[in-house]
Amino acid sequence: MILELSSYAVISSGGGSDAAHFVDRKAREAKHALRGTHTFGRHAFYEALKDLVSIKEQCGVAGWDGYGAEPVRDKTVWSAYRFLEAFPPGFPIPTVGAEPDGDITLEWYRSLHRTVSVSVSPDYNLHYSALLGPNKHYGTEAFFGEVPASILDLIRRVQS
Amino acid sequence: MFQNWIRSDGTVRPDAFIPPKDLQLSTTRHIRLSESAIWEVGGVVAAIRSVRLLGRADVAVQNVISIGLSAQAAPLPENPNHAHVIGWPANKPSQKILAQQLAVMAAYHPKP
Repeated sequence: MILELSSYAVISSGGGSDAAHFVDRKAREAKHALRGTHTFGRHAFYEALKDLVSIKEQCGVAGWDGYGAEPVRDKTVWSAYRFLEAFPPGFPIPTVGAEPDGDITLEWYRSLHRTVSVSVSPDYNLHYSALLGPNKHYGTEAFFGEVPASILDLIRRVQS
Repeated sequence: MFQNWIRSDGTVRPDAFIPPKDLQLSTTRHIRLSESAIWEVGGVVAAIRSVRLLGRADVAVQNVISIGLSAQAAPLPENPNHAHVIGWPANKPSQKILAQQLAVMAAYHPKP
């Protein structure tokens, strides 16, 4: 199942200089190597990837919710994968879900009033909302390969 | 209810309350329905839509209204108590925060 995800790396390459590609590849290899250790949470990360594949299997066809939901598309799965991969090693791993508009959701949940939900869209937009006690936070960030600081901060605050 | 919308602690993820494109979230009102009749309606709807009925998430109308949304009757032949939750904003982050608040107020009941 992971192989299916890896194939997108080939499809997505293109643009940028050879040097930029080399640096990007090496950075990702280093991050994968680090994540491959037990210390930095290999098990949790790969569990999240398995959930991502499972969501694609369950929600990949139109109407998967019985109410005309949009299908979760390959491009959305790839966006979510890149987003998950961008988290610093050791960061808490979210649970994975899907919304009727075909976005994939990643949720960091501590309690009903301490939770962050991020919707990953196929166009690499990250729509987030968070409840932190009585405070509400929501907005949209573009994903450019790094997890936006505002989202990292919300997750830290939910976990603290 | 889609299985991934139910957390392991029995609470409901906000994903369940994100409205479809037409911004009309389908629900069933409980007016004058017994507990068994509610499940019967759910069973009929699930059969028509070829999905498995896992459970239901109950939210009181006053809770819907308290966050600026409203409920509008939209009876269907197979479900006279069908209603829409309407008044959703068009932008996704605003929908998400409302869905998150509905999820806090929802009570999940697994199918007996």
